[in-house]
Amino acid sequence: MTVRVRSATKSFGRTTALDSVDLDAGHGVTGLLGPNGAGKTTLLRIIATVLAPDRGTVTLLGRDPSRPDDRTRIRERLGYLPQDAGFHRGFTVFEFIDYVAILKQMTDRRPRHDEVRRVIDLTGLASVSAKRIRALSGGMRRRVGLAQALLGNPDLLVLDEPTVGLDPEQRLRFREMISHAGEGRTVVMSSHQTEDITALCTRIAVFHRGRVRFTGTPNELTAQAAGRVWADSQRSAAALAAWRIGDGTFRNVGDPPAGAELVPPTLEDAYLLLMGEPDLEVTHS
Amino acid sequence: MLTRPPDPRADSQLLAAIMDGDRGAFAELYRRHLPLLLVRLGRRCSSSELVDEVVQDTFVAVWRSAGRWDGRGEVAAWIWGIGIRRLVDALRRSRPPADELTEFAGVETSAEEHVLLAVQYGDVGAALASLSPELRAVVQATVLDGLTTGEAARLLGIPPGTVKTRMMRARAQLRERLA
Amino acid sequence: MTVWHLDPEAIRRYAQGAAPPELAASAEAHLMRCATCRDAIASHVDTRRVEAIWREVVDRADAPRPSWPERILARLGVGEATARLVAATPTLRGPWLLGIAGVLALSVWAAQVDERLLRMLLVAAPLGPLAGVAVAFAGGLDPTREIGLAAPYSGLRLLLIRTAAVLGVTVPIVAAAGLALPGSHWLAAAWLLPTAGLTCAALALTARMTPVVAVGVVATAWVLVTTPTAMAGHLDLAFGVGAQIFWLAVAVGGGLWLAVTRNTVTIKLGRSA
Repeated sequence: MTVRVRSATKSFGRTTALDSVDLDAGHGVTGLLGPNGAGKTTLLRIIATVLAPDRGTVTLLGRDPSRPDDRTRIRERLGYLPQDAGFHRGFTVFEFIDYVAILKQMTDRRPRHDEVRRVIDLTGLASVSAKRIRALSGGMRRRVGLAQALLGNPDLLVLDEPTVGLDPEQRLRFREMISHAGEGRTVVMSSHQTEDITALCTRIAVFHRGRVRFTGTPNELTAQAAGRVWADSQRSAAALAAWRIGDGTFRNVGDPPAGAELVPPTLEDAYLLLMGEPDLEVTHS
Repeated sequence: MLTRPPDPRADSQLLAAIMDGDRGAFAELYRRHLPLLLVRLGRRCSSSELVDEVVQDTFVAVWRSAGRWDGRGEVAAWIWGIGIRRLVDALRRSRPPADELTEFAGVETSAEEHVLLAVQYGDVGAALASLSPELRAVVQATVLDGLTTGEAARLLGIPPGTVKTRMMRARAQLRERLA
Repeated sequence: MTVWHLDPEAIRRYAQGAAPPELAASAEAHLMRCATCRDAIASHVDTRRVEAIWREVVDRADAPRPSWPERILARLGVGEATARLVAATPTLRGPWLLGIAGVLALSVWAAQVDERLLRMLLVAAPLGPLAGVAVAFAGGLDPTREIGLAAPYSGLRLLLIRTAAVLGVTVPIVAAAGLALPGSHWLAAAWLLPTAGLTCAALALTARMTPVVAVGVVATAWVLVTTPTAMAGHLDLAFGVGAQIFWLAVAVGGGLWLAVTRNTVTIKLGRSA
């Protein structure tokens, strides 16, 4: 396992952001799913060595991030896209990624520039590499964030909400890039979009209020909703959540009444059931 | 980078994209125009290191000042104009010796090449072929390469006055032959 | 558009420099106008040479052109990578420098008016560079902080580089302000060692707290201790020979402590939340 978190707890003042969380992640894409404020970002920051847990143990790439030497070794093999990745807005795309490359200790100018160009090409930024970041759209900036995370071909890639704020086409592009990045390395990403998780992740952990409610494969999560989704001509009183779908019928999620017309569940249904709250903000198609 | 599928954009469109910072367009323009520039400058300067350097300078200049292309004529000619002037500057800095200049006299012109020349220039080609190497070099630098007298002097490593007198002699001989 | 093309043999001879001048001249005239024949030249040119030149070109083309502070640093023998880090220090952006210079100019003017204010200026002088150090690490001003925290680059090294950059810029500004003051010129230099000492003390404290808090603690202590003595006219106590030796000792001690602990202490670059 590249990432191994045991009983991690982290509080900020009186708020408990993480409450005794366990997580394992190996090769492939592991997704953290949950509403905003569920603790995903806190856990990702711990995995990115930015934050240390108050209690619990963390092992990353076989090393202990609480030890300075180990931490540096981990950081040499780590790529991190923070949720609110900021940029020096006066920098060009190339300059910014080059700056991060220096922070990643690539001091030799020539190989560093080659590496910067490699990630720029990889993320489809070649046509804007000389543009100032402040002139870019949100989706392009997100790509710049991903590009810097890919510098040096890290073994562990931590991506906090990589697809947030992207239009559908860019989101597809991003999925492609992340899925590609997940080949042969460990990617841990968060999202509150079930579609991204379904499309990308081999394993998922569902977060709710600082705790992990579920870990397993997407299919396992979906299977949890088997027998709990039914179609009806109206919003059922028994449903935890119900919405009208394209053909005019209602899709009801919850405990079905006898004789209900059951339909195959999706990951989103299972997620809704897990959260147990009908007023949760969940996007659906 | 250099093995992408062909780009359908015209040279002028590539230049416009380059102004916008499109490195892909730049790669394509490089792919299209580098070989000729390399060969053509190589015929004017025997030091391949110097030619490589000049070619680099030229394309960096193209990248930085793509907006200076006035939209008239061939992009290839514009790039050549930058390249030959950079070569002249580089030669001024790095030498005198005149032996740096490649002499390309003494190669016989075949019959079929004469035909080709006739297609391109008619009798001018044949008349040009009859000039002495020194005179031909001056005609080439000023008329074909588009250099000023001063630039031609620097390229050929001779005083500007000599360029002028050789040019006058060449003109007289050509007029005589074409008369 | 030309309808005819150079035959392959002519292109080969031209590309290899074997074509006689008249043929070359006519070939060149044609090549300027014919993209098809230009493409045909490519196969006669050494691919490795084309790639090598491309690498150089593209490196110069999209590599950042160093800003003037970077060029000055390069002149001084600072490495290119370090110079970039210095140039990205938030304090070194125009507005902050203007702010520091503006406050000092105002103080100098005030000191001309009232002699007590002159003493206060000495108290205030080290605060300029200290504020600059704090700004260099204030979370809201370094947008890449979060990425920087996860990078292997030594936090302490970044701290020192940025501090040196801030001091390198702010100290001359303060010194210039000092020279504009009435009275003896030693006063213009009297704050230098205290500034060095205070900065080192603040840096040493970064093992325990964030740079912004560390600077705040040190600055507050400095103001509380020196203001009463300065106002009472005992400048010797805060700036005399004894005090200067004390600050030198603090600076050296702080520097040594940083050097010794650089591998074991985690520098907190920003808020820990």
